[in-house]
Amino acid sequence: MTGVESSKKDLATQLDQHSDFFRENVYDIYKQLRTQCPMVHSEKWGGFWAFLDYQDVYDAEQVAEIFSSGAGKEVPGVEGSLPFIPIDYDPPLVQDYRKIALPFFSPGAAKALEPTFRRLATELIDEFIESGEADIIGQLTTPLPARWILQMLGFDESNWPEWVELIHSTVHDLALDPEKSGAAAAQIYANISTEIQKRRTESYGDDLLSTVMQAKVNGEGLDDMQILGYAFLMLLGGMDTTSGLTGNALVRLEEQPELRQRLINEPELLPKATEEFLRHDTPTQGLPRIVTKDCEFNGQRFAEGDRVLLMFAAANRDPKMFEDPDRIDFDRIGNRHLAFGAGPHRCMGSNHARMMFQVMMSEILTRMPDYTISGEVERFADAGSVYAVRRLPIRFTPGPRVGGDGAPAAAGTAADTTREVQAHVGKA
Amino acid sequence: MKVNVDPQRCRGHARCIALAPEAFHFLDLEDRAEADPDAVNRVDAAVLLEAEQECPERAITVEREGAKS
Repeated sequence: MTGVESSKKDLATQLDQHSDFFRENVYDIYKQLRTQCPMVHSEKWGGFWAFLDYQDVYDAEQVAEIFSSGAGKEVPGVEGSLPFIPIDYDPPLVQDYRKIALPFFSPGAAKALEPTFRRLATELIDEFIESGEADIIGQLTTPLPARWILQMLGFDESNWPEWVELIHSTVHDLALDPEKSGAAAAQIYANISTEIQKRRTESYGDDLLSTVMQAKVNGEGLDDMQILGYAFLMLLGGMDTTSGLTGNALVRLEEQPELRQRLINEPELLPKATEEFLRHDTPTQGLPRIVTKDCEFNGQRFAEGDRVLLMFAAANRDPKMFEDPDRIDFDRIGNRHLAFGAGPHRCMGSNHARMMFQVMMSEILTRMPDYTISGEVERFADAGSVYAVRRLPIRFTPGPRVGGDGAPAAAGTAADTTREVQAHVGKA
Repeated sequence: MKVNVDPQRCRGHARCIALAPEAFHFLDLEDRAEADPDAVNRVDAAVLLEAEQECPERAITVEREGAKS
């Protein structure tokens, strides 16, 4: 952080959440800027605000009539992009369109999926457990959520590597290589269109895409652009953030072995530890809003069209809200973190993210309790949207495979998941 | 012990469901939690207070009845 002390103003005006400097110093930057002004204005990317304090982020989440999720909020701007649904709608539409998928994402649905997640984790770990080494991101924390969301949508889960690459490109190349990101997005739209056509010419199933295609909101079905935007958002949510959280937590457990030992000794702590990792190592650093009218908010003037980043990760380290915020404390009381946002846009996949994280962590701590990071912790270059590990080589004492004698667990998984979710949705 | 979940504030984070599944239930299609009035008296007060303190929307209030306890 050389030179930062002498140029705090520059740190604010030159704030660039997509830069290497941001990724490497993210929590130091928040700390420095917070002491200066918790509502920061940067001149980068055509100018934008960033809210760092918990109260400002929380309050802004509650007033969508001022801080809208509508078009034009992205930093940098994205030309000609379709809205993602329901996240790019404001109330009351956001709630109307969320309803379609709510039964798939309820706490009960997540709980019903625990055996499926565990089977998937067992199968993925079996593939490398005898070797004593793995890229745990590429071989477990990426494929598990990706394969599940593809199953949920009714897509062929064996294509997960292609989907993951496309989704990663749309997210992480957006600011730094917009052409590549745009091409990836176009390919995703084409792939989803194929799935839509397949259902129209053959038949609808019990999957989430079929459900979205047949849904009615205020008496009207969704048009094709809306169906595409809905499916795209489900893929985005499923393929990036949960792996990000797990990778971040695995790095922390390497840095602080006493925390790892505690989780091994007291596995019942995992739910509380999950909330603390969400707070301390938030994957989704922030999301943008656009100001709808000239106004004053929490003592600051804003103009219509101003773009504002709500920095959840910074809010989660606000010392006014969290005592000793930079410390990971599994016994923390009053952990009202904003890792999933708040208000009408609260992350719809939060229950599943928690469940997948807990299954992966408990399987790792049971089967590879002595893992050590054996190479460079490689992060995605652009941390501005999702702060996540891209590659994490580990070594551990080899162990035995534990899945049923070579039985292809994957073959049963898709059908099982659909049955489990449908059983639950049927009850809802 | 009286527990209330404000339906206007609750946004379905489900932190209370994870902490005290005996005391709260989730309305899937409304995306929000409700306190179960019969169950709350069978649940450890400390757990209910924790649910109150962990709710990101401050939607949960726990009242001790009278000054008996």
